[in-house]
Amino acid sequence: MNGSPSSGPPWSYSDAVWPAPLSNLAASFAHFGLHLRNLVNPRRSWPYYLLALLPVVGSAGLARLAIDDASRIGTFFQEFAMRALALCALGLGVGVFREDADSGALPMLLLRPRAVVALPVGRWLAVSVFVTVLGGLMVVGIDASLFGTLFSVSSAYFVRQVLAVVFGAMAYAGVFMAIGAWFKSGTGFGLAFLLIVDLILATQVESLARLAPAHYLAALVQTLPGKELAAAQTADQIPGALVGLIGLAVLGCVASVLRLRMDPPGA
Amino acid sequence: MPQPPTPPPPDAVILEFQRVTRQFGARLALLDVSLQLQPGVVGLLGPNGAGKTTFLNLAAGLTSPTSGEITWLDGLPRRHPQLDNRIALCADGDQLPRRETALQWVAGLLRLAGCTALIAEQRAKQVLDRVGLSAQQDQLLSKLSRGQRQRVKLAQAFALPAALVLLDEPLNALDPVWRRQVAALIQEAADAGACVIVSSHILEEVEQLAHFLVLLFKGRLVAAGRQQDIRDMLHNQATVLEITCTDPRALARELLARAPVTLVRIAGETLTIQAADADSLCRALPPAVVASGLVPAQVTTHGDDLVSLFQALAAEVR
Repeated sequence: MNGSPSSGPPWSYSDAVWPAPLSNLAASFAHFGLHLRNLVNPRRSWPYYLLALLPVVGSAGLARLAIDDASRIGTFFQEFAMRALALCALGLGVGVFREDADSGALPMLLLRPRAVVALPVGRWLAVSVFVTVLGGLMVVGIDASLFGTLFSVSSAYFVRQVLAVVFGAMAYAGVFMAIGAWFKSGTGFGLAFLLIVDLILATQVESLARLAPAHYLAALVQTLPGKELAAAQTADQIPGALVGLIGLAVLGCVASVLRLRMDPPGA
Repeated sequence: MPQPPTPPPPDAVILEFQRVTRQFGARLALLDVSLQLQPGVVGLLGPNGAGKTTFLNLAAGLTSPTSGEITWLDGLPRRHPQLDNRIALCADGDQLPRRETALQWVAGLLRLAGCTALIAEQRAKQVLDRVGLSAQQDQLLSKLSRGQRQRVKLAQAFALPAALVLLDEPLNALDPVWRRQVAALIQEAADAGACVIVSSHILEEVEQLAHFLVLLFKGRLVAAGRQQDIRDMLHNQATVLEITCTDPRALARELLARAPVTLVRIAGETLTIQAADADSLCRALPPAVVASGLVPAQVTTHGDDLVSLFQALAAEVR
């Protein structure tokens, strides 16, 4: 509706109701709400909805082929679904500040009280939730398409999948948000991170594996469906993997706050 | 809801730079700048690349100086709670979040400032109405013209009564009618006790607005003072006229008799003449032309514009 009349008395510069600044927590939730509203907009996020659909289509294809090898399912989920999740987090994470920096809106956002901490935390949470929802739909879609054909998804494996999606989304969102905050060509650096650190170094160089979300996600979902208790990775590894993923998310948020404090992009 | 803070007294120091230097890698954006600013409209002038945006970002507390110190509202550091919502900025750049409406964006910023949803929307509508955008408040920002987006940016800067309002090239893309309206808005904020810093690279653009001018050139503060003092500097600096006519010698003779000429050069039909100040040379030209009986084909001036003043002042600083 265009042209709705302004309500209340006419504007006066000094005649304003003075707001009590929000706490860090409230400001984070305010940023969370505003950013999530942007993210769910299909006109902005349609590529990510499509990306989340791809693994589901792939698993439906596997089911149709009726390959009787459960290990392929585990490999498929880890290598394809988790990559799709990471790519969603990459696109949305590096764009957390970049769009506002490019549009010139970031300096005006950062002048709101508590924004230097609340903005990255709130937006990281929004990206994490959105990617988790996409990943959750992906997991449900994959499991549903395979249900009754190749294997029955055990509850233990389903829980691991969900944990991988939730904590993987948090870790990837944090890492890519920091990359987007520090590098102007964040997408390129993010892709390099995925290819070099997450795919190659994580499996080849033990000391660098701790920086790769894939290292922790492997501990969660590499176990094959129906064989998880007998597999090499036992349930003991789950807490360590979750702590590692949370650590990466926290690291990403701290790095983003530091960047906004020192020299915000676009300012 | 707390009461709005009392406006700063007229002699309050709203912003103080003490030997502030800002470097980006090897590039010096601002060098050893010291000044104090009080309530009122301040014109921040300088050619492109002078360091105006860096100055504003430092004044906003968005970036930190490489060396030196900046304080606000009589000595407060940037993270002091008394500065919450007391600094407003209309940043450079003509893009805004494309998928939000003007009302959503301004109200969203007010909510982040601490307003309730109801008050944020009401205040956003009022301030958008003040900048003539009540009919466009529900349009996507991407659908607005450049001038309308500029007014949306100004609306968010004036949405709450800040003590320090920083406006980076605020008159860009505005038509003459809205330039006057925005000037009135700026004056209203200054009358309410705010220090409003208006950056521009055009002296005429801010001379109607600002009582105090700050001149930057290549990152250095070359002058800061009342507008009249700066204009006097401009008029007192050497001015060069280039006049093309059929008999430049005759015209030179007449001008020499009427103005404090410091340099005369004749090349073909072009007379180049320099005087100690612009006003006396310009006053002398019409009677000299009449007395010589010549009709100049072309008259061009050098040295009476802001860039020349910057260069002259920068040379003095050097």
